[in-house]
Amino acid sequence: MAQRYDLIVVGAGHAGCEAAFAGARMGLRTLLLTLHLDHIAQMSCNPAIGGLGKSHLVADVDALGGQMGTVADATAIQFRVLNRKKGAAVQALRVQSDRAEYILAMRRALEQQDRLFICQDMAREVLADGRTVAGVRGQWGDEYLAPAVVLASGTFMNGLIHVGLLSFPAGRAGDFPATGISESLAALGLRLGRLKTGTPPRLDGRTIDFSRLERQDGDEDHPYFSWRSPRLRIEQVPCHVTYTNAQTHAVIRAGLDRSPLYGGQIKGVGPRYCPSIETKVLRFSDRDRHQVFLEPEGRRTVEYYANGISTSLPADVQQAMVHSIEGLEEAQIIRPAYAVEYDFIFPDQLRPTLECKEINGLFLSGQIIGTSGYEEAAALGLVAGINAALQIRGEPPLVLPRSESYIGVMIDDLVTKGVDEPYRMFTSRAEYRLLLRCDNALRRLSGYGKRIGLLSAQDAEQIDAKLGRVDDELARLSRLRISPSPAAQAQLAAMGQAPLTGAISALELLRRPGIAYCQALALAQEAPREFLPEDLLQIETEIRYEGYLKREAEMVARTQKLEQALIPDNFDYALVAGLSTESRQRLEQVRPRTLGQAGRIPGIPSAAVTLIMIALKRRANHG
Amino acid sequence: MIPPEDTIAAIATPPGAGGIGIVRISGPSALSIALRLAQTQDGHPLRELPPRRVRRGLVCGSEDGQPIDQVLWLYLPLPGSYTGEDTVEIQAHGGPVSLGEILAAVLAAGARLAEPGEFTKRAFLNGRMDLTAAEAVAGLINATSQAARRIALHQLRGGLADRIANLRAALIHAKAELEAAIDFPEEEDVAPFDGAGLALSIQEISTDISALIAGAASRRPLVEGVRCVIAGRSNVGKSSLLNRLLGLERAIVHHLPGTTRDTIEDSLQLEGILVRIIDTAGLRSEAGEVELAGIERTRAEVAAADLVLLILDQSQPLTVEDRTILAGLDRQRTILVLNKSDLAASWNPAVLGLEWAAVPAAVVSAKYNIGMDGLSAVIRNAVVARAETAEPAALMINMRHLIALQRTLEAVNRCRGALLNALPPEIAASDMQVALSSLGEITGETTPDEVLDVIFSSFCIGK
Repeated sequence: MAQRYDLIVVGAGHAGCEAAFAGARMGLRTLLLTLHLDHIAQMSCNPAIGGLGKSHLVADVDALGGQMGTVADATAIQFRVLNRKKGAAVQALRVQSDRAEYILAMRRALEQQDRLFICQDMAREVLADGRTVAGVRGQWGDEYLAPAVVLASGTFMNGLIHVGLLSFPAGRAGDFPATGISESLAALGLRLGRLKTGTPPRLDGRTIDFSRLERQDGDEDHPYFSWRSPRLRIEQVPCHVTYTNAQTHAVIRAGLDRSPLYGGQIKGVGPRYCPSIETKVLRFSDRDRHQVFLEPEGRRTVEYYANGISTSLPADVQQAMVHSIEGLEEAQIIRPAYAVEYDFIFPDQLRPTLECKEINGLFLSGQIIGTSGYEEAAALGLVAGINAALQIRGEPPLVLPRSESYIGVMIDDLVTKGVDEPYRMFTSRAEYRLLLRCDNALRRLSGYGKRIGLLSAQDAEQIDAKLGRVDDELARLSRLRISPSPAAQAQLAAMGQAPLTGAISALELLRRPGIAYCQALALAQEAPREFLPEDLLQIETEIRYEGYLKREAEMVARTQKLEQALIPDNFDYALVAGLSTESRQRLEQVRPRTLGQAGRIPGIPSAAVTLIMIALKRRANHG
Repeated sequence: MIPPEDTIAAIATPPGAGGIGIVRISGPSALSIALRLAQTQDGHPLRELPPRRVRRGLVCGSEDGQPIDQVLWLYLPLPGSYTGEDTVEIQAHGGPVSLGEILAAVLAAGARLAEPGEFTKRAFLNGRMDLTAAEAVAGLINATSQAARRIALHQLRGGLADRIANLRAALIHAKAELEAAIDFPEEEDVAPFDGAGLALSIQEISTDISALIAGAASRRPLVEGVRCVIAGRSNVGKSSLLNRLLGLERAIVHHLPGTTRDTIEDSLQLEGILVRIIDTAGLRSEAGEVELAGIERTRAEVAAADLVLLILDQSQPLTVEDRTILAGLDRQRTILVLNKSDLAASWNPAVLGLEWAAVPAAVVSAKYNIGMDGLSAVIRNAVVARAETAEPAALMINMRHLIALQRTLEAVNRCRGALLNALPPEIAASDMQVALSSLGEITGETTPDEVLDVIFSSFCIGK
């Protein structure tokens, strides 16, 4: 007897969880299938969330009404602010997470969610009725039927683990691979490829000599990912840093004859930004050491993650390599390092809604579309879940522009340019980086969250109040006058600032480098108001970098016409006079949603975009 | 809401117009830009331009207020202009140098140089042109844009191309250094952000660009394209040949009303190279002083030309005037056009002398359209050969390139300023992004992936 739902989400990793929450919160009876109930939202790699580009994605997810930020805040054991001395746009929060607590917290939230059902089963086949998805078939033959399916199966599809020359099928060390589903997707006409990623050994903290290692503490004064999170101060757990050395590198070189990476066993493409230690040693042979960060896996475990020595070398080489490192001479490996190869689906087969162009109702998200990272996965899962729900509710899809969010940048990159290595977010990918800050995520995105119903009326009220306080303060600062009184000039001189030449507003004074909010108010002889760190940062940034922000906003405005010009799904590029064959083929493959997207397809000249624009107008004129 | 368009400008002179040249400004700021540059004959600022009325006056530099030329001003308010936007036309005495200066003043006053075909695109989008016409124009742009990019690099052959390539590489490296410091703050291999150090290397880039601009500007200020002068005495058929030639190359757009004054159509595109046809006809129509001035002007145009098409009437014996013109020409830059082949030939090319034997020649009848394909091929070969053998910078760093370099320089200097003022690296990176996209007008766009490629190959990234 088939079970019927509104939405089925396959995989309960970081993508799948967000997709399931979005579906259920937007009113769908949602089924979440997982291979292992105890491994929900597992951090397969390092026990950390955030960092450059990634914290921006978490902020985006949170502002839309996603889950990751609150769980990450609640289960953090260390908070660190990266780039604190740089501008707001590139400051990033990173937390060390308690991996086990994260799993429990996410599972608890899933279990408390209305309309959300969790089931341990493996989807073996995607069911389709012609070009429309119908559901999935489980490993025991059960049919789960739904008009929309979000596939979020991570590294599990035909996962193959390598440790030295040994290899075995697995989705992650200790978990079954997902078999059958790749073949079923290929049968539906999707193009699949193979990627690779790797992970380092985990060590027993009781066997590490921390006394000889550099200690890295968290920051006491830090923001949170989510606006909802209670601002509690917790006792933080430190990380430690050690280094590889000449002996380590010699051990690695001696083991290369049993490297699956260099022996040709591994065919998948790995990420350049996260190379294995053997690759680092070979490619940067002039470097006599590489950093190794020892990150605690939780408060109630002795397990440590050795960040920086990801490898697929055999276990005995791993052992010798670890023992050659200062502080790790006696270290016990709790879990060995390994590389995993897995199937992915080329993302240029997706619409910006993450729905397959060729199979209605089938949405793909997370690592299976060629990304890497928990935050990237969560953002994609959220968008897939939202669009599945909008489609079922018969509402227009949510496509976030590049000018409003990192999520928009990522999805546009994926579906327009495709991938040739696992895609990770960097802030340099965002052309409007100064506008896309964590501190203004609610301003950028909470309107969407409200409209689609992921943020409740009560949430909206709180968010509006939070944004309103910032607006009010900006208005107040522009009203407050500071006159060049002897007292004010003396205060400025004491701060190493040039004197005033006339009366100015507190806002104008804040434009000066080196003047902080409190100082400006002291000079205006007014009391400062209490703000959360992200709100204060927003006030100072909006004032200090106004000219730069304006320039980016103008650049955005110039592209709006093209970004908003939709190209219909059934548009026939063969009818566009003057298009080169090469351009036409690329356009037919990507089928861009807007003229703006068409212009970003590699190799499409701007004149081709003009030709399409004219053809669209012709179409409109002729009905 | 649709944001307002920016204001564009370009030289919009139809080919072969002889003494008259037009600079067209179109967009919301057209009138205010014009009023910044317009003066009365006796040098007072013009306060207004009456709509649809020709107004005589001066055009002056936007910075120094020095007069550039005596001109006619014509203000066409929207929607009654070619583009359907507020438009101002400056009708000047022509001559590419003075037109170039006028255009430069307009750009300095806030307009942007129009893209090829942009007036037409706007005309179309504002409903001022029918679809068939717009498609034809767009098709032409598309067909030439690929070749143009190829040839653009061709043009920059030799030292100049290398310098531009080095410049781009230097900018990408500076950007990569900024981006690495931003995105990988925990990597041991990435040095902590050092604004002052980076400002030093950016200073070098800035000096390089300034030198490039200075060199280019001194060689040939603001002149675009291969200058091809049509020469010959009266009544040899210059005008009909010119019309034939233009009709041949621009068959698609030539018959479309209103399109002939757009920037792309005002010159020939041969192999993607812009060929500006300068017709010396009409300069000698009057007697006396005017004629002398005309002859002098022809001589100057011929001297400055990259190519001269000398038209000879083969049905009539060579005249003294023909011989005089022949004697004054540089054979390396000349193409002989023997016209009126429909009539019996009265002389053989051998009579020109041995030294002319190797000069490319074509026998045509402009009147009956005979031999025009052959002539077209001869011109094409000469144009390409000229582009290939030209000294760096001598042939063309065209106006578009020069403006791109100036914008690049401004952005690079802002970036340096940001670093010296201890602004954070993402602010400097934003200026650097503007620099790269300005240079992209010459070299093509720089994608974030190219910057990441440099980061991953220069630094060991691996946390």
